[in-house]
Amino acid sequence: MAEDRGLASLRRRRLLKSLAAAGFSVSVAGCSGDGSDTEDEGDPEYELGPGDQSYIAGSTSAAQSISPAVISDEATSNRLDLLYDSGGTIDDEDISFEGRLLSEWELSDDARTARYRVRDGLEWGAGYGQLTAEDYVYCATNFFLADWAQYSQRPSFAPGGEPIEYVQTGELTFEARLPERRPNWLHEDILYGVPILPKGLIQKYEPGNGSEGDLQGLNRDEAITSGELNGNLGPFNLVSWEKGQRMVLSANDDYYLADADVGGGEYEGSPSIDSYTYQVFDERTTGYSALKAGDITSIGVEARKKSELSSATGVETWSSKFGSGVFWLNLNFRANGWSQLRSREVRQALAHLLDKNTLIEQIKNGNASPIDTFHPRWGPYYDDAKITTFESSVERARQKLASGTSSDYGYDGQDRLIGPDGEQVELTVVIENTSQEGEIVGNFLRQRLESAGIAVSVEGNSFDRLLQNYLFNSVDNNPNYSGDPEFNVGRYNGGPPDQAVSREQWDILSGVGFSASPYAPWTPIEFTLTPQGPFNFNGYRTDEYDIQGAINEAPNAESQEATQEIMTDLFGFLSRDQPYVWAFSEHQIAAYREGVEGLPEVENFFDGPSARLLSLSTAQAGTPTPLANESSGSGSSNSS
Amino acid sequence: MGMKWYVVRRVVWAVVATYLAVSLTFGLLMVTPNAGADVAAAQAAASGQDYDAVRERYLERRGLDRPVEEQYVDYMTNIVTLDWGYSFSQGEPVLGAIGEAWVYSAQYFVPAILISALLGYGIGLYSALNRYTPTDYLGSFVAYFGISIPNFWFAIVLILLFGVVFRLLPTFYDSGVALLSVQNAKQLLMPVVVLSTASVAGQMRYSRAQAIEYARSAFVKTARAKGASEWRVLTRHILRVALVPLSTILIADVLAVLFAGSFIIETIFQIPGLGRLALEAIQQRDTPLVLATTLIPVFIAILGNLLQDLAYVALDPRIDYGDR
Repeated sequence: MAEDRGLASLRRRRLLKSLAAAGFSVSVAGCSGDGSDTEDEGDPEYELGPGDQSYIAGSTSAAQSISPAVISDEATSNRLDLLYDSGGTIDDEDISFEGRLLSEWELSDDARTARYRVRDGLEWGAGYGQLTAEDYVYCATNFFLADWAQYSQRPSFAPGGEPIEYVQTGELTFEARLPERRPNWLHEDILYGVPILPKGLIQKYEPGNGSEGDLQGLNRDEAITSGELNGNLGPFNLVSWEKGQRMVLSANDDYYLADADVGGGEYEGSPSIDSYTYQVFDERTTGYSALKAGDITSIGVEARKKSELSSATGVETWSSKFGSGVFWLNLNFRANGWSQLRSREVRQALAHLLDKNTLIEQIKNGNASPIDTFHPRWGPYYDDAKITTFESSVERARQKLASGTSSDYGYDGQDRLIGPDGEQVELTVVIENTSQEGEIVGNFLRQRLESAGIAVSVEGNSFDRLLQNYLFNSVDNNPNYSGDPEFNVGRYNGGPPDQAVSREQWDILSGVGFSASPYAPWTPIEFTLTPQGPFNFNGYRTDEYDIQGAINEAPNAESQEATQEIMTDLFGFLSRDQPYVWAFSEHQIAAYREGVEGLPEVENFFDGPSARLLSLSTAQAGTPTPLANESSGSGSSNSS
Repeated sequence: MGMKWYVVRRVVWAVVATYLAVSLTFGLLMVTPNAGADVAAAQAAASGQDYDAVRERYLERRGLDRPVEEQYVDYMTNIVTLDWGYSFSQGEPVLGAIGEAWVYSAQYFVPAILISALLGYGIGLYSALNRYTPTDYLGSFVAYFGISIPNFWFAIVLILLFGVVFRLLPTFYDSGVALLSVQNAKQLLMPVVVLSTASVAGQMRYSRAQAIEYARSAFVKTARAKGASEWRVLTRHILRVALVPLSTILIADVLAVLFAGSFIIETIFQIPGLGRLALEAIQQRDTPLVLATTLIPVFIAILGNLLQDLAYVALDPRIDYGDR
């Protein structure tokens, strides 16, 4: 669906998206929130947009491939989701497993074995026969976990570094034997979240008889490029795909879910839309115009444009406050950053200076929520009682700067913060300046820091330059260090902070966000906040709290309560320590023609529009088909 | 013999110029950091794989890990043998990608060039012969408007007016529409108008200036004295000579449109043509495609200049390349 919803800045979020695609977020489809806003009654003649039962979704990003074997970005994932169903999803009613290709999912009491049942009556296309447990086990073992496949989400099939053992237990049943206890496996299990490949197709291209495996050949196989592989497994069939331009799909009349007893009959007769098209817009403004004109049916919306589109005739907006992308100010703890940033009190002073509500109002028109730690306030591991907050106050900031900096710093008679050289402290603030948001953030920070007596130099950069000049770091950039670094885990963390530094000097950096992965937050924390995390480009470390120990323990703790305790403690510490200056969590926003029916009420992270349930009201047909909203209410055994 | 020898030398020079342009582009790409490799490696690192190993594999798969001289020789050989390589950003051979894209560009590009040339020269000549009249002022207004208004802004305003407010034209280019259809003509209208507006302006101003210059010349006075009609004076005497410098402007305009105009027009109207193809190739550091999309305007420039020099002789009998 409108997969771009809530993307305020494509460039700014490129890293965020790439990381999410690499397995950080639980579900890109899941979002929920504060309901839809309809502010206009619309002209019935064109409220539908493109026409009866034809749905055109505008998107600012294009699918890179139509092969289920290669999914490395959100746009590709969303398009393939319409061709191939995955094993299951999360039921938005009771946060349990809701079946798709898999009818049952169950975790053993000792949290060491996940058991699955493949739905009966599933058929591959292109002559690959019935989908059985053998396909699942073969695909997981010989493709997802195999080196030749270079599968982007491979680490998710090896929790703790050990590969999962998949074993077939019947024609339609199999189980995953986990290398360690994983009580939270419902939110970590990647197998039911991705499309799979038939055993016969993998065998055609896998290594053997002297060959090394032909991944390119697999991706170019006729069954995949024509889309015929999907059989009755997806709601739509592929009509055409023009890379970078559009993908046209038509309703799959054989779709298994149309007759399956899932979600209390919610999907009966789905999909309701005859034709579904993804239309790419390089220029977002053109996409907005197309929606207003009724040339397309929906598009993701930048936060600052929400009110403008809400007031357009025939358009309604849908939004969710349950976004998983979080943004913060990065602080440079490396040798070429301001040394005083290593003081917690100084970082807390910066938190007092960052007036989050004003910032959100200025750059998001209020369509974001402040955060206090590496977790949204609505997240399952957020505990108010353990979180430290910092009210917006220049006075408090000055007090903490005065007491938190070393003894050779202090304020002069003109309220300027003076450093050891007798000059006013000047910080370099780096922003991504290809969007208006970046410029606003830069000016806002300058104003706030100057009010606290700190001079500011703002450096604007494109996202690419931001990566190369500021995020990448290496000992080669450090004239005061020679020799090999103690460790090197890649370009974003080329060594300890006193050894590896970025090419350009910086102190505060804005414009890079991350998915907080709210239901499995340990992975992003490990990647960004542990000393050898591959994305710890800031160089953060602490002796006060064993972050690595906490995130090792949390996912396989004895109980959910124990996991809860560990994570809420950790998030409490992160709010207090401010390794980054936490800023906000974006809302997800999309705009639709008023004729679109079936947008969900938003109550949690997993409530999101689904192309399987959307329908279009028609002027000719009168009232649209009512949609059932009952859920299966499945219990802890998670069958449907 | 003299003219033939000149043409041969010009063709040889065209080959040398092409070689230099392609080599220069290749050199620039070689010193540009490979963002594609960085992003791929970053994603891999995010999922726990070895950053450097993935980066190396990325480069290896695309042959970018080989010595520069080896890549250079390979590429030049492929250019000559019309094997322009495989575009990884498009997932198909470079010539295939260009073959699909040029049709979309030509659909708005050719009409825009023809319209701008006809209108530009027409209005310019008319203005020159009717100086300081209201129609001359109107022509000048059109010219200054076209020069002053940024393409991207004009395109967005047109979309808002004719697509959103009046709903007369589609807001974006639908590649699923049949080539020869009214719907296709309608969706090409705004791109053609935007593109030709800027070109009309330039050509109108130049043709007006040229025509004014020749309108006072002795041979025009002689033609008038011999009783030639105003139309004959204009088309046979003034326009013919004025076309020599104007043809130079035309080539420059075509190139300007190809290099800059098509990027903007195609991005805003979502036309899957050569401009967007080139832009994506540059953004993704798709070397074979960048070089191929660079070659096309280079060829047009070189060929256009050659044809233009030859056209001089036909247009102005005083020009002779025999001794050059």
